[in-house]
Amino acid sequence: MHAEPYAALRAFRDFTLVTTFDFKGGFANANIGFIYLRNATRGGPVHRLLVEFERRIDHALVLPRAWRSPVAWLWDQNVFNKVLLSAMAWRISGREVFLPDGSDANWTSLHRRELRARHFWREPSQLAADGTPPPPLLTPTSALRVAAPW
Amino acid sequence: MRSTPLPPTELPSAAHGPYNLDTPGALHAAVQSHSRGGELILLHADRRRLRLLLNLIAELAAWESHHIFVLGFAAAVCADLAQAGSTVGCGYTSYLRTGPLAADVVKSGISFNYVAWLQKSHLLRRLIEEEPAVNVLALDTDMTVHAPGPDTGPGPNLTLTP
Repeated sequence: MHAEPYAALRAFRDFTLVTTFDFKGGFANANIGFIYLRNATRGGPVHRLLVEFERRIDHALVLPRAWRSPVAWLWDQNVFNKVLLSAMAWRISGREVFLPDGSDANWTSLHRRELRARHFWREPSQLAADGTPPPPLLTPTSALRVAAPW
Repeated sequence: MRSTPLPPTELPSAAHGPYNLDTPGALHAAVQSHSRGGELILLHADRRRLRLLLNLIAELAAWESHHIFVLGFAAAVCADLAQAGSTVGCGYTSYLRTGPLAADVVKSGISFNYVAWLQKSHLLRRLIEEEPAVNVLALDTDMTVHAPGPDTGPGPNLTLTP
């Protein structure tokens, strides 16, 4: 711990969820080893993420399909990333994706390229259309108020 | 001559827990006792990571961040913390270890760690629902945080090294 974390978190006072970018995280590329919940409310976007997270875990726990791949369906990091990406991609998908029972598998497989996290985060490696670099802060392009600094 | 072990610097008290978070009112009592200014730092660890946990608690204390609550992978973590002299709050839950899904957890073959990590997310949901006045900073023990401050802009403020 090299500094008092709240000083930095004040820069994200408009966000309900602050988490960390992890390019190895897959799916939404978030690492939930760092989570800051600020003014999150029951029924709000972050609460709905956690409710959906638990719903998928509860479902996966009764699916032998999920038991065979626990990293994919029962590991918190992996499942949270799927839930987050599913929410962020909603405006293009109009449906839940990466579900543990595989009911979306055909659709998700067909649209895998469109479901890449880079379409929903503005990452530093991506230039804007006019060639200007994006801000260093990952900016969610959905209605979710989620920040992923690094 | 055999040396006599020193007693812990502070014995656990009701204010430090351990809190059985499945007990009605326990989560509220924990938040009331251990949050400060509407903020709570949530850590979680198993007994194998006790030294990492104690190190993170000490690092946070160096920044005057004492509003810490530990979700132990088991109640024994709380006992270990108290034995080590820590005065942070500590609690545990039986979520997914008892109840309607417990048998499925066993059948799934997932490790105890998986269950503990799921318990953390469950606790975050409960905190939003039951303790909406508190903001929660949840940190894994296996990280370092670099936070130079708000004057440099939000981009480089936080660096996570898992």
